[in-house]
Amino acid sequence: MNNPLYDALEICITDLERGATLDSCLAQFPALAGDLQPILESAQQARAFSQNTLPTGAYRRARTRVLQAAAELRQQKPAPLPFWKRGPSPARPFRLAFTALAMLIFLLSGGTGLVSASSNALPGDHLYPVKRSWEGFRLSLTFNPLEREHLERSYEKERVSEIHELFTKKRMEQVYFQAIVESQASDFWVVDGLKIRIDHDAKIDAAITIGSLVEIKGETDDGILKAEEIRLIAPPTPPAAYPKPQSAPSRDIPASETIRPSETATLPEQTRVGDDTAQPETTEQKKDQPKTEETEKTPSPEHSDEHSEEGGSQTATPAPTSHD
Amino acid sequence: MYTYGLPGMSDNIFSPALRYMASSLTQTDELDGLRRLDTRIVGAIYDRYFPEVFRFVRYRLNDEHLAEDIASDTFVRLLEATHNGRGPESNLRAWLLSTASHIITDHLRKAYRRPTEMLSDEQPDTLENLASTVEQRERGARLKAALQTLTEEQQNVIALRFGQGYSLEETARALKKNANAIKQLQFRALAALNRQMGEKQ
Repeated sequence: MNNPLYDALEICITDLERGATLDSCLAQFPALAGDLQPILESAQQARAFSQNTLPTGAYRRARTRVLQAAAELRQQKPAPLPFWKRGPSPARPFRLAFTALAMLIFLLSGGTGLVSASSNALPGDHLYPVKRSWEGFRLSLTFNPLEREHLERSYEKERVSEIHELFTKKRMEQVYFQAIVESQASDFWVVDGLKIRIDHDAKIDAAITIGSLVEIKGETDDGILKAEEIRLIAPPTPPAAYPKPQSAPSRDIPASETIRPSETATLPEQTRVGDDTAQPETTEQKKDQPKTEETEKTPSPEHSDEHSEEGGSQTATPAPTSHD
Repeated sequence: MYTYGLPGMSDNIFSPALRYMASSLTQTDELDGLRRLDTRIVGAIYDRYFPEVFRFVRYRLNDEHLAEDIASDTFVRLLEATHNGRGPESNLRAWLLSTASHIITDHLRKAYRRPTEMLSDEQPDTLENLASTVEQRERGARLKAALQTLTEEQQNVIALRFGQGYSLEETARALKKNANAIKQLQFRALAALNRQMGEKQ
């Protein structure tokens, strides 16, 4: 319902336009006259301010400018219409469906285009971030714990093989990856079968022990991986806490032989070469690793050979095949 | 009441044929010709709507030079927008007035940030007209100052209803609102104008 004042004002304005006087207008609405009068006076002032003339010069100048702009625009190629203004097309729903399907296939397959091209990228390559992002994306879409763990292990293996590839190509590149610490010595550690040189200026979390999951940032240089920073991601997990998947080979270890990682980890000297106690303890500790680490993280024989050659006699690198 | 004629202009600007063309084109003809940038149609559209746009801007700014610039800018924007597929699809007059209103707002915003005093290059007034001209200018300046304290919508309603002489329905179409909304808006606009004028006197 409209306010009666609004209607009365409109009637009065129309009457004033037709030549009526203010008083005659107000006489139609005696109850509202007090409110209407100042408003109508303002309306009369606003009307008096109006000018109906149009300066000829302004009209001509503006007309010339507008027609010139039209002539210039005719020479220019029009910008393409946005897709929502391109008019109805019977093929449009099909086009949209096809686009959506193509994007879905691209996202799910991961075997085409950029992702495919990045699959062989190494650290330092332009496509390497694409490869790592794609891995992260696939991980985020994997909700089954076993599948996820399997994927993580395969990516960790991929990191190791990337570093070996960098060694082969004698490339000096920054690398970062996560791995399980297999042995610790003062100058060299072994993670996932990969030997890392520990310089005195490397930043290393104090709580890292054998069996810890760590994140390593380092640099490959002439066949050696130099650690710049090693950060603890997760401490060693007690064996009981690991659910063993059915597919993993089981290994019964007598309780009396079990050596917890925390017990071995406090003794870095035990891993030194020449120390007779180092090898058995390291071996036992690896037995206590989760079975996924035993099965998935075991470095390839050729890798372990390389390490044993490179490491010389300084580090007791556990031979991955010795357990089996 | 709005007419398609061009009040205040000498007849030698338009030939009768052009005047007929400007008033006989349908909205569809106008929009089609505009998309093709057809010189005759663009000219006809200009002839038909420029006076309205010019007077609308002049009423809001009380400045003929600015009104000329802003009105011609409005038409150039119309051409550019249509050329790029973003032009009006139905109500050309509403599009032009709305664009002019936006350009005015932009201008006022810039002027508020960088206030300048414009020098008038108009012809000096004759002695006999001097008193009335001064009084008229003062009244105009007061009204302009009061108008500019209103909201953009309120200013547009006042400019269209009292500056252009649009009817309620024409104002509603130009502002893309219904008639009741315009009744309410004009009441509030005039009440606010009355308050502002009272304060400035």
